[in-house]
Amino acid sequence: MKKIKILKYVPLLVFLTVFACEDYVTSVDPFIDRVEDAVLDREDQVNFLVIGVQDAAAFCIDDLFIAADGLSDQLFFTRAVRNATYPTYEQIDLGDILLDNNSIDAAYTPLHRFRKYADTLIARIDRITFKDESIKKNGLYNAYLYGGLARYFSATYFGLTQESGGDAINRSAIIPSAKLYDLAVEKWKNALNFAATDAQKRLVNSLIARAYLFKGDYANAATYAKDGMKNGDPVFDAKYNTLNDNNYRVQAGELRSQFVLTQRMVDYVTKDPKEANRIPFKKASLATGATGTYYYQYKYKLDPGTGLITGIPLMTWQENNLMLAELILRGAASGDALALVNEVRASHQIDPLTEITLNDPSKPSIVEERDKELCFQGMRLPDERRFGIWHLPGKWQYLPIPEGERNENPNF
Amino acid sequence: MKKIIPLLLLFALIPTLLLAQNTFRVMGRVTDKQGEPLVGANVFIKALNMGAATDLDGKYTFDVPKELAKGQSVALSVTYVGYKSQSVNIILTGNSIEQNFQLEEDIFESETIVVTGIASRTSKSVSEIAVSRIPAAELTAVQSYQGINQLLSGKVAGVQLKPTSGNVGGGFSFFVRGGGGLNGDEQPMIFVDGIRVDNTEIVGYGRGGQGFSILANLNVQDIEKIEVLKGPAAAAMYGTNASNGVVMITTKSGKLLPGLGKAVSIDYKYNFGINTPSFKYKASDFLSVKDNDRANKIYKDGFIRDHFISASGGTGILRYYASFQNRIEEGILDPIKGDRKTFKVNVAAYPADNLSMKFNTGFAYNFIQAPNNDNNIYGYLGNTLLALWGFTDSAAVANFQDKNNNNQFLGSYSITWSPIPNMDVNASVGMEDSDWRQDQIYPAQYRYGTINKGSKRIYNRHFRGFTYDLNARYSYDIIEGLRSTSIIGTQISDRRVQTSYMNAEQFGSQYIMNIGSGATIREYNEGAAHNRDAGIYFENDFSYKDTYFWTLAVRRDYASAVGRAAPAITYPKASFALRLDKMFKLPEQIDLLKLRAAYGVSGQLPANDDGIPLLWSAVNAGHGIGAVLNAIGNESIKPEEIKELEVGFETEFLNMFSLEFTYFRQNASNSIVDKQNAPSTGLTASAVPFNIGGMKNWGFESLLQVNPIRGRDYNLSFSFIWNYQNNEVTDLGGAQPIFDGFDVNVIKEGLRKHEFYTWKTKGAKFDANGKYIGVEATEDRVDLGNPYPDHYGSFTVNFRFLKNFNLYALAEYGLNNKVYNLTKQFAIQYNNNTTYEELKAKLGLTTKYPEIQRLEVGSAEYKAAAEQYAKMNYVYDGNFIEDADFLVIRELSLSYDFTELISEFIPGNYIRNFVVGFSAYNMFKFSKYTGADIEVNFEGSRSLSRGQDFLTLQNPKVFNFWFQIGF
Repeated sequence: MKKIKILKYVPLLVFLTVFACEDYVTSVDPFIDRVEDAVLDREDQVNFLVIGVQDAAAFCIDDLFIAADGLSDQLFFTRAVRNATYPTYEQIDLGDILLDNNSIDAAYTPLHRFRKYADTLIARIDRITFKDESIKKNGLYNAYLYGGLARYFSATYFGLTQESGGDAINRSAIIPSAKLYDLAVEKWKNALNFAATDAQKRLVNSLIARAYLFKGDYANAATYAKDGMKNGDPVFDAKYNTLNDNNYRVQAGELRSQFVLTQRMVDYVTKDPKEANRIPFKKASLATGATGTYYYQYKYKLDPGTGLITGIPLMTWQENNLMLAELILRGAASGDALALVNEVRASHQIDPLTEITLNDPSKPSIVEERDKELCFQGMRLPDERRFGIWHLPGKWQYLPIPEGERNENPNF
Repeated sequence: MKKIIPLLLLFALIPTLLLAQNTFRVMGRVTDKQGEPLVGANVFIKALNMGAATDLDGKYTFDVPKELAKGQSVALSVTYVGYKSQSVNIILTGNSIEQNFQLEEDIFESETIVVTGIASRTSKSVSEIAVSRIPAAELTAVQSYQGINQLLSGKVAGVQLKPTSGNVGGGFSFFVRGGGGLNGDEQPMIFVDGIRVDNTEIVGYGRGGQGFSILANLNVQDIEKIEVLKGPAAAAMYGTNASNGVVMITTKSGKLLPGLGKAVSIDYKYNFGINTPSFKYKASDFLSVKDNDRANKIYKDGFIRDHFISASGGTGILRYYASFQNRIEEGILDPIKGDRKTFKVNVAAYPADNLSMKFNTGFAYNFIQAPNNDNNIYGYLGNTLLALWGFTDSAAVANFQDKNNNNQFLGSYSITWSPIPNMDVNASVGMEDSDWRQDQIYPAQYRYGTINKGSKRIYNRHFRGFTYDLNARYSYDIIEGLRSTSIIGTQISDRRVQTSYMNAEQFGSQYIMNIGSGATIREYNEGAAHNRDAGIYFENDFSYKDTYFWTLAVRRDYASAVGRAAPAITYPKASFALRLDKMFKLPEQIDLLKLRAAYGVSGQLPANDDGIPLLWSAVNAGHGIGAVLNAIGNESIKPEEIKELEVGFETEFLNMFSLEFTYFRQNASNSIVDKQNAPSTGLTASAVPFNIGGMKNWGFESLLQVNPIRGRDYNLSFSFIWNYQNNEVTDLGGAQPIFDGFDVNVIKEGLRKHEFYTWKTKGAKFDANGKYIGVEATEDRVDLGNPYPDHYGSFTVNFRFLKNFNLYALAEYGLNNKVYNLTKQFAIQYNNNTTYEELKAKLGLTTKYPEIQRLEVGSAEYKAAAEQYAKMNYVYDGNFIEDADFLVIRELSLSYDFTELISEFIPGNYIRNFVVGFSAYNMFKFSKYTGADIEVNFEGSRSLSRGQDFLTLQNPKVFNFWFQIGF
């Protein structure tokens, strides 16, 4: 009887256990550091999302510009410098780039992330009812601004083959650079509708002008450059802090000098020491047993006084001046090209020029001024292509779209 | 023995209850084959729950009420530790019965009880599954092991253990059978006294690729035995995540010392050891060795001092075991240090005949210090094998500090109650609570690559886990000879991990480096994870006439790791065994022959956020705190399912040989493949999990044991383990191959898991004049072998001679093993490879070595040199994947037992034993591999990278001298 008494409780125990198990395993602590997507569909989360887009863009830009400048003739890789070790940087420097180069992945993947964040922010804002329209306006301005910036980067830096620029968006077929510039401009024109200040409008105009300039549409470039940034406008840049350091500083700068300046860049300063105001560099440490003198860029640094890390300029009034000057020399705009160039030089306390050409190597030229003014800002790579001065014939002129995209994109 | 003692007590009381006059007597004598009496053997009639233990003459006797005698036939059985049990059928007529037994020695311990499931245990002679039992206490008596990985290595058929570096307390990985399915980290579940323990590799702030094993906290000298279940066929009732098997560690319990008249025994062991490099880099490989042996000069001998004291004893109702160990160990590089202190108290109480309780507690404090190495510029090896202090100055490398302090508490309480005959109810609760604190310092006065004026990094981790078990087992005879045991139970696991970390740089003084004195905070954050699993299981074991055995079982499992809704998963199991030696009249030379087959299903859980479609996190960067995507999940994700079939046999013959053989086949389906979205989608915060993969693995494991010499003064035994494993990834659901971080190990359809799959040089290219102009590489990636051997195993010799000497040796081998020698590849890039530099000079590709004569372009010697040069081209990783078949003389020990000698000089029994020994670990390694160590992996023990030697610290050779004294 005792046996039976005990055994009769077994089915009850089983029954209770089965139902208790499910409740038990689902009663766990919630995530402390993550939140589900729908939770962010609120007005008070829009600024948080905008900053996310900006930060995500900054994650891309430092690595993108290291690669772009490494491929250009501004920087080169040598193991003679202490701690220059990445074979992927060596490939980029030589233009012999394998498709599995993970230094290029480090730029390509984040580029599309911030594009996606920007694009989905537009759709998210559409789902939210706003009480404060300025939040909505700021959200849309930034979403279009950075959506355009991503497409401009795709057009300028990436390519499927060595000599043809273009990229995919959301697994599309390859979109040639010219079309991508159009898509960027379309986004930026939308941004103009939500710009809150004139300075914001001038910035967007400068960005549109540059896209047209790189596309070769000088007339449209001139139209927007004329209404672009002017002396005194703040720089539009990618910002960094000590928690998200500027990788240009970390890998190709004062911390680790995996890319160093080509002699051309050093010669600018040798020839005119005042050029150091806009081409700052320092002597790099050598690997054991190595000889020679090498210099790393010191444009991006940690300011020991303020603890701030230099941001990477994405558009400045100086660049707008140089664009306008170029367009004047190309006959697409009217005005005093030399005065525009000298205004830029004066901002760095550099003596004025007496003449300026478009790209005459024996005389002061726009291409040289851009080389110096916009150094380490990813501008030399497109300029080498635009001005027909590519230094690695038969090699990659774009950063190759990485293997990951080629394998997973059915339209390639 | 501890299982038998409660029975003894039970049986001892039974006669007093049966002093009725209407009884008849069952009696006899139990001896061994030589006629020597066996004292304390249990003789019983299971069907009546009656029996007795033998006395000093081996005699037993018990009375049975006549009313129970109905002319039926019942089994009269005898069991005795170290001997094979016997049963004879007797007819109960009411008349006295005399039955003598002569027991055979259980040479191969086939009668030893082993764990065969979550609540089932039986002897190996009737087990329906392959189960390995490691007699840890016997092994630790003759060898000194740093940790459990050394203790297990080479001793379990079907299990490979790889220590991933030579750091003290370093990580290691199990590879069980063919590696399980596609998912998880291939590691088995580990239980210590019933507590499911944390088996994470703790990394914190990296020091290269290596992490530490939390299992390094275990003092192996506290371990009594380890049992290993090797796959779903055996471990299905442990539920999800048991697909890679289960390792059950049982610590020592208190023992009575019959005959010695002592209530307590105290043992002390002192071990002095030396860690010394097992490999010397050659001048023919590295210029930095040729240059005054500088690459080898960084190494030193590290000393080991290990004190261990334990006390054991008790009474009939209370037994205890307590121990303390302090192991101080230095490694073969200056910074490597370990200081472990462990405390252990196990108490068992038997307050009533039908009630037993166990309280097991253990506390460990462990300090571990390690240097930088592997793939980073701050390590010893990178700065001696690539560029001689070319990345970081020697003083900076030497003064880097990585100090880890961790505490771990393990405690369990279990109770076994038998409310009615043949029924046991077991309840247990176990707890693990551990804290890990890492302090990493890059001193401010040295320059370290990207670090600005020093760095202080702090990492904290707190783990708390609970394991609850409740089960009931009831045995009964369905019909005569057919016995059924029903088990029902539930098992619950609750695990919480919290981490926090902070990194500051820019210190004003190297003398003050608390984290608050750093000017720049580079990083700070925290993490938390909470997982619960729960399952209910039912198992029914049947045995018929001790000849046929079969089991049917099912487990229903729930886990919080699977999305928002907890799906239930059902895991079935069935197994069968047949004692052919009892079924048929076999030749008398065959002592045991058993066939068995088992089938079971287990799984691997997804990650705890895999079931949530989109998760956003906050990032603190230059523009402020913003939202970024953190993970992309799949709501319909479910666990990977792994089915296993194993068949095998065990046999013993000629009273000298034992052979076990198991063939296994595992099929994984619904494997979770993390598909990386195309980058252009922007949805790349994580890969997306899908149940689209599959793989299969198969192989066999075998163990041959031979015991040709047995005697008082000499005993010789051998064992030989031969395993074969193979596997194939059968399905990735159309996903691209998945590569490790170095793009070399792959998960790809049609290949083995972790296969090396990359490009390599086919040969040199020459111009019309025969001048070397470059390399010709394979057009695509090629299959270059696997970092796990397919045939592997071990050979063990145990020889006791001249009565008191004991010699033990264990060698491990592996065939078709490959290792990727990244160290060599990078040494070539940094112009430090002797051969490559010579070839360069001979081919006229450098003027750096004027003393080396150039070869004539187009000559046969020139072409041969060019071919060799091309095959060392560092662009192609495949050129550095080397054959690494191995034979390792893993363990060697010689000890002498002075006990007998001492007893002649010291009267009385004050000294119970005194043994002195010498042992060596990793004594010799033979391999074609040209690098330092076939067993290391630069990315530690859990990543997809396997078999990659990239500036990774070799595992040392260890010499130990020890003595053990017992009072």
